[in-house]
Amino acid sequence: MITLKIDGKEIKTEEGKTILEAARENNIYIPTLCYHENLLPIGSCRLCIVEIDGYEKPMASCTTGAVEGISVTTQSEKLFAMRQEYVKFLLINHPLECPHCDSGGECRLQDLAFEHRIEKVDLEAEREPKTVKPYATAMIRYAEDRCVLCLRCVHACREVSGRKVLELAGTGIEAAMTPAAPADCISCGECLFMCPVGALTEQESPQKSRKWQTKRQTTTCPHCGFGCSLDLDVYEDRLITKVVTNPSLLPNKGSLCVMGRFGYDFANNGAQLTQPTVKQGAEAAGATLAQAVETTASALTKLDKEGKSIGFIVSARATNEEAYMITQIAKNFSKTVFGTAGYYHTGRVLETMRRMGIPYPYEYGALNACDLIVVAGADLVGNNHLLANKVREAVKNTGAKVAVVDPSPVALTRVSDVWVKVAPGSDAAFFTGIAARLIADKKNDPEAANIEGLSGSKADALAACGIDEKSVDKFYKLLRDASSIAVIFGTGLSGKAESMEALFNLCIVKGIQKTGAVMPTALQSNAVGTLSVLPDAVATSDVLEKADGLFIYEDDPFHYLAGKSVEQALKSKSFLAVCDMFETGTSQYAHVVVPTGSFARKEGSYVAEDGYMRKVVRSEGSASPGFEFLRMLLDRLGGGLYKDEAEASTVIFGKEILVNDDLGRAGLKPTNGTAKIASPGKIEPGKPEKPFTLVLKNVFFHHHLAGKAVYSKMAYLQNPPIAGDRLFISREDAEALGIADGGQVVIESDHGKVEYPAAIKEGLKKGVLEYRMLKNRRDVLNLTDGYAKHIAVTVKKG
Amino acid sequence: MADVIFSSWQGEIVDNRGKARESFEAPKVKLPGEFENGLPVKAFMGWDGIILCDESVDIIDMSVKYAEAIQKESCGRCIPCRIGSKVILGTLRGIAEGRGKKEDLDKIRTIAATIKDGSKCQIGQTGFVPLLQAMSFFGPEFDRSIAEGRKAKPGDYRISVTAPCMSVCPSQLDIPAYVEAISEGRFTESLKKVRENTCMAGTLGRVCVRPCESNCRRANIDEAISIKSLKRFVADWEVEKSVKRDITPKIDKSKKIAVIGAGPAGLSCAYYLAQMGYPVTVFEKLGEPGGMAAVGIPDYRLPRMTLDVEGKFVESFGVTIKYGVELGKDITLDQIQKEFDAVFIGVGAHTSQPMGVQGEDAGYRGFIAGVKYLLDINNGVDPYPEGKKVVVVGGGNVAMDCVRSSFRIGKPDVHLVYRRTKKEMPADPVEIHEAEEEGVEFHYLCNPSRIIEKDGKVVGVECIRMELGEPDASGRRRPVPVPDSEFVIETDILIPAIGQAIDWSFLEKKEEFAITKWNTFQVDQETFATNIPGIFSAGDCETGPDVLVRACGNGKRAAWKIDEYLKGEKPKARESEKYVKFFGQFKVYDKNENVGFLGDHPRMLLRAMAPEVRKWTFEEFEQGFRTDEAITEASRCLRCYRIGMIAVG
Repeated sequence: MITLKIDGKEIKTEEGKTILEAARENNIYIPTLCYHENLLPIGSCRLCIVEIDGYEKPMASCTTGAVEGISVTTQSEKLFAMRQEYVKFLLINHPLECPHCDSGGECRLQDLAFEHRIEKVDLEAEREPKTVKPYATAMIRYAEDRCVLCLRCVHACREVSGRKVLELAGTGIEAAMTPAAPADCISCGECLFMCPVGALTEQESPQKSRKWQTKRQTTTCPHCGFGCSLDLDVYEDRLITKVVTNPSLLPNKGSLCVMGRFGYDFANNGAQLTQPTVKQGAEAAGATLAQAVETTASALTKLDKEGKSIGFIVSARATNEEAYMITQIAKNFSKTVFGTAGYYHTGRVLETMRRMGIPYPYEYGALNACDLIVVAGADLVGNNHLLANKVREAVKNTGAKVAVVDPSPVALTRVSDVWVKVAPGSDAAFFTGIAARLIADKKNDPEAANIEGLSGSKADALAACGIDEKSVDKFYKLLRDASSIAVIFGTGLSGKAESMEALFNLCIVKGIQKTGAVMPTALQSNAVGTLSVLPDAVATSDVLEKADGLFIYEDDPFHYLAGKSVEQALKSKSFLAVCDMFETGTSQYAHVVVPTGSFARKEGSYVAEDGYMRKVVRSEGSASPGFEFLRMLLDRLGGGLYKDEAEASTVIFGKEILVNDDLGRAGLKPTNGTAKIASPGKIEPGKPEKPFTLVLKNVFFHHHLAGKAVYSKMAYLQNPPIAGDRLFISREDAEALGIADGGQVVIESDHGKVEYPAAIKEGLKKGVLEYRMLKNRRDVLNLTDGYAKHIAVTVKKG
Repeated sequence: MADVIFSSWQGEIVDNRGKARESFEAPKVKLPGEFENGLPVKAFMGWDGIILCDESVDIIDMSVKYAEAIQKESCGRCIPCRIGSKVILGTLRGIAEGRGKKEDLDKIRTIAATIKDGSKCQIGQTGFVPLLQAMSFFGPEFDRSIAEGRKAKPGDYRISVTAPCMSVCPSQLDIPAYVEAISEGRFTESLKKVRENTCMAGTLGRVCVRPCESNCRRANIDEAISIKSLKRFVADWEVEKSVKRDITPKIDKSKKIAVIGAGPAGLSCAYYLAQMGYPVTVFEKLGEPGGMAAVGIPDYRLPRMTLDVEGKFVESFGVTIKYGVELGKDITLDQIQKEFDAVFIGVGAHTSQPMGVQGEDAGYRGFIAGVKYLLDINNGVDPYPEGKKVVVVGGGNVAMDCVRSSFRIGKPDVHLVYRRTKKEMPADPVEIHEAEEEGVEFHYLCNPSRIIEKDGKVVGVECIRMELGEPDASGRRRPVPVPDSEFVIETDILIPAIGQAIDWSFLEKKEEFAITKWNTFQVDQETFATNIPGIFSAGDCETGPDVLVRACGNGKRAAWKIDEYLKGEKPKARESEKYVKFFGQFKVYDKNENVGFLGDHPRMLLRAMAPEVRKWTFEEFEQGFRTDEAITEASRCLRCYRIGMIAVG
């Protein structure tokens, strides 16, 4: 710690902090415009200049490091006059269109002009006329004439998002921010978040509301498992007009991805269900909530009395409170089974981690304490963009190295020190081989018990994987020399149990349970929570198959299972209730359909992929229709009348599903016990049954995607570079098969055949096809007989 | 030198206006009389003041043009410089066009002061220094202009940007630009910037003698920026992160050039010629690129991989490098001259200078010339495995490489003999320190006088004590032998490393070439042309043993001249070279300047392996910066760009 004086006040700060940081920690105000705590200091606005005793010239406090014993003055006549002059400079050519600027009322330039008592500007600086310019993404409007060139957007695009879209072009007064490489834009909106004025505004929002007319509510993003905090601006309690974020809120510190920032409009969609329907004969007819409750209760009770089983399929995006209510409803029946889509990845992850004693929950912040970050089978674009941001932050702040294990280029390949292209299905052999090599070189954690099964010949597994030897060596060396590693993994691992076990074995051999972190990603916002609340949840397909009656809450199996099998199952059920926000693929088969409402109407909690709880706070309306239904149904079945979501939350805590940790944060009960190596058994690289492996990339850009064209218009339709169903093929394979970029290919599996145009993806491993699933899922899912992420296929020119 | 009528340079005011020429007072600063042949210098306006030599210069016009230059050079990042300088420019233009108002001058003064005090870098911080001086020392001219509505008389100016670090770089690297890019996390862009001026970023980032760092203005407030290591960082970043380069060779010219030697000079020359569209073939005797850098600099300082990357980088521009082809053996100069339209010779200086000690040419076992010793080691051969004790003679970087490499091939007992003291040693002080850390025993103020042999093997060296006398031509005090002070150091190996010379064996007809008295190629210093038309030369074979960065810079400059020659033009100095020369007359870096900023943040150094570990291995002994370290170090840069404007005509 060092001691310095600011404005006569003695303060202490850590060495390495800047004067501005030291001042802010002590609530000493220094005006800024270009400074942002998430970025490296830019130092361009010069408003944060301060004077230091003994030094002749004013210095920018954002770029000047605090030094023991200095005495700093932040406010003086001279500094005020200089700052005033600089703000005046900005106002010379700034259009005064505050009444129709989206940032009116929350604009840094407005604040600074007021603060520096500027009433008029009598200066001139000739400049080429500037106007609204086309931008890198259709979701953002770029009013170049309003730009103050603080450069936060340019810096954020690189530093935070790892893209290179924006540039500073030109010199002198003609210098301007330019979207130089729009093709690299992923529409994450980081630039928009950073803009302190109205130069970048959301394309749609200016006409919808003004800052002072909306209510701003902090809640949790419903899209992927990262659990970002965001604020919804709600107009007249009925319309979400904007998503804004607060840099002081963890875990995302104001950053979001395209869906988080722009994908809220689904919640305003007019196609939302508003009234329950009950099927009478073949026709569904509007009904009251009480009628829906009554129909459902009696149908389920009847089934129960007949000794039939009732299956509950709960969305991995439902809140913990909703899931809890469903468990209480189920308690009234004797044969029940729970299923969730979250089981396919997160369910297996949690089970394996518990079994092998891998520490969980984990901290995103652990990345900053690691010198190597391994990213295996996690693309971190379609979901968990924020986790990629965190990795980049670690690279920037601590110089961490990055190793990517994936057959396909992913968000982090551009900053990676090594990229090992492991074929789908060979990952277990790869991880086991590396672990065996560590053991053979005696570089394993000495306390890693029971490693016998891994030693010796297992290292041969590596050679059989057919991976470029150089990258394997580099990966091995990076891992061997790292003192602390973090392992991020996602759905790209093969679906076989041994893949995840092999990865965890490697982690244990490296001693990750003592130093480092295993960081699984989750696709859905509450995959971890629903799996924890629902007792013994299994795969949706099992429930579909076994149960006689079905109660589906906000889930649509058509979304991720082969359509033929789902349809068959649904048709065979004697009763089906579907609760959802929109019509879904499933709801047409339902006897009772009940609207649930969007996340903005919900109150309760999620558990994010890190195992910690996130609060979901009602932003519009007075109640969640879904919860109302569950509450009444439970009461009707004799389970008691819950007052509201809060009462359900209390019980969840009471049952120790969620507990407070030492820091007072709510999360899952930590796994404890010692890490145990799983017996690797016979590890062989996957011998493909067919020449190609089709990898399904399940991009959950959408809260609800029901094949009924209910999407986020903004994030999906306006963002073709990253959205849309696409089939990708490697350049090598395309050339070998004579397929041009965009040419038709015929893909055939044991279960079906489809024809698609294929785009060439540079860097994709030979022998791998990749399908990015969004809207048009049903065709590709019919290549399987149930759930699959890697499908053996043949490919030919179409 | 021109007579100075007025100068405010560096705070020294000399005002000869109205005086008779013979009573002119001369300022300390010297202004060259001509910018180029036949183009006299009339005035200079720059970061530290105004120098006026000709009264016909219109100070108001000059001020306007200078303000225009600030606007042009203003990078657009900071508000005061970007907008404020435009406000001033507009007002000044008004005055120059006869529309000036009385209050304009005060307005300019106020705004100029806020720009000067608050700008982010030296463009804004120094840009208004001469303008404010113009207004105060030439006040009546301004007043009159405004009162009479007089229009300024346009003059002819030459404008360039320099910086203390840049001004002394033999390769003219745009240091502030690439350092700033690192501080912003734009590593690939930074490397691109470096590569505008050299093809050897990774090599220079490791072994450059870094004149820039001894001219770094940051040293005035704490310590110089680690410029060299930052360059290494961006070069390594590209390799480590497998960054794809976006290069397509554009060979669209038909005249062919042969480059002899793939060392720093040859590679640089080829690199620039290929970018100009010429088909270039490089003939290299060795099996790898780098020349002296490959075989003379040990791997622990410069890994082969780095040179390999750079050789391939140059090849990616369409250059053909023929390895293992030795001029004078596999191919003759005559053959090359017939096949190619121009030839560049950059063969380096690969043999050792004799010590002038009896027995040195007798072929004793254990007597090995420094350059040969390093060459063998670099080829993985211990030239004399039986020898355990080593004495190296000399004080330069080659001597340091010899002593430090000796440990690395397993010689436990290593000595260095130098005839002056540590202070006079030409080797990089950092290297001397590292050699000391590794346990080399230094013997100062002594010189070998006789080789002691037994059965044709070296067994010792007789040395004589020296003392320092009067300074010699190099400015260093001349060592003088102390009579009867001979003593013997027993040794198995004796390595003279007192300087390199050119191995002329590649030339059949050396006599056709003009050779200097230092036994190097004589070339025109502006064009690098030898006396034989179409043959150019640069690098150590032209300068004599010199630093790598100069060979790179001269190779590049020779490429420009070869282009002009092939286009049938008379090769001449480029505008940029004229500025280098012109600014060379000024001290761009003023080590006594009071910068006025708080510093107190020492430079970041690379992490080196412990001496006891590193001395036995050829693994690179220093680890490059981590990302965060590079960013922190680069953020210390003060971006000392300055604008110099010369009134000519």
